[in-house]
Amino acid sequence: MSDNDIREVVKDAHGAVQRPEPPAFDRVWSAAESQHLIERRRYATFSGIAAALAMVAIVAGLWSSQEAGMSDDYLIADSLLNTTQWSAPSDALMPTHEFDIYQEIPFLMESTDLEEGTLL
Amino acid sequence: MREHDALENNPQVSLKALEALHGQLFGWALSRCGYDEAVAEDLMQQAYVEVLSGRARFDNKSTLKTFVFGIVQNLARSQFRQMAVRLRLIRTYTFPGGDQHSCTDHADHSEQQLIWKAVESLPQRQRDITELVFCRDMTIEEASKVMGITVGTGRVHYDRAKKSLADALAELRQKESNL
Repeated sequence: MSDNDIREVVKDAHGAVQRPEPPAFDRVWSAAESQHLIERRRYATFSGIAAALAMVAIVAGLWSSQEAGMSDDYLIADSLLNTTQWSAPSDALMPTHEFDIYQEIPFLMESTDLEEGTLL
Repeated sequence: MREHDALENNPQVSLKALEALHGQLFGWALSRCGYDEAVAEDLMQQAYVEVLSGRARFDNKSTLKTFVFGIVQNLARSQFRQMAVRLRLIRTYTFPGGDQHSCTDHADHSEQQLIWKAVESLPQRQRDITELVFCRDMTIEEASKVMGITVGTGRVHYDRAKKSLADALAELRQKESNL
């Protein structure tokens, strides 16, 4: 059986089988259009809500950073220059103290005895 | 080229061209969802939404027919797979014993219905390529594109389908001559 024979036979069989009539194009198309419109509206609504939420988050972030900024301690140059004392705004900012054995040990030792002419 | 009734999000697609394909597309949608009219209509509506919204964009790389058939095929594969399974289950339990896959009236076993039954008994891809090439007048290349397979794979399925159908038809002729 040739290709064309098979094609003809199958095509005839396909045509002979009873199938439902297609629905009217206009009906399906208008249903698709209204679905598309609903989807667009839904998308616009969600986008609007997302944009509003983003705005709220940004405003809240800015407001809270302003709040935090108000409580920060700033160094004022004039007052710093007019005094001989200064303390760091926070211990956390200070470097870790490292013991300097050559500079600090002699003062820590309380002995006044001389050892071979040298203060211990 | 933009036609006067071209779609906003798909300027290469005209409404008239889509309308001309409507009947064939319905036939294809029917065969994608177990010949359920309501599901086929939903499938077509969804396909038109894809075209309207521009989510599926036609760029003249294939024919419009291949393009819309491909949309229906992809939608059927993704969205309607679960629905088809449910429908099949409902039918199995509502009409036990009945062959609900086709809309054909199998009480009348005319030759043409037996031939079509032979087509329906082919494996899914062979059945699809047979329908697209023999009944929807597509080339193997176009049919492969719709089915989302390579042309080589399409040819293999086409050859196997042809051989199976030739055997089935020979068997039918043999039975007829014996009667």
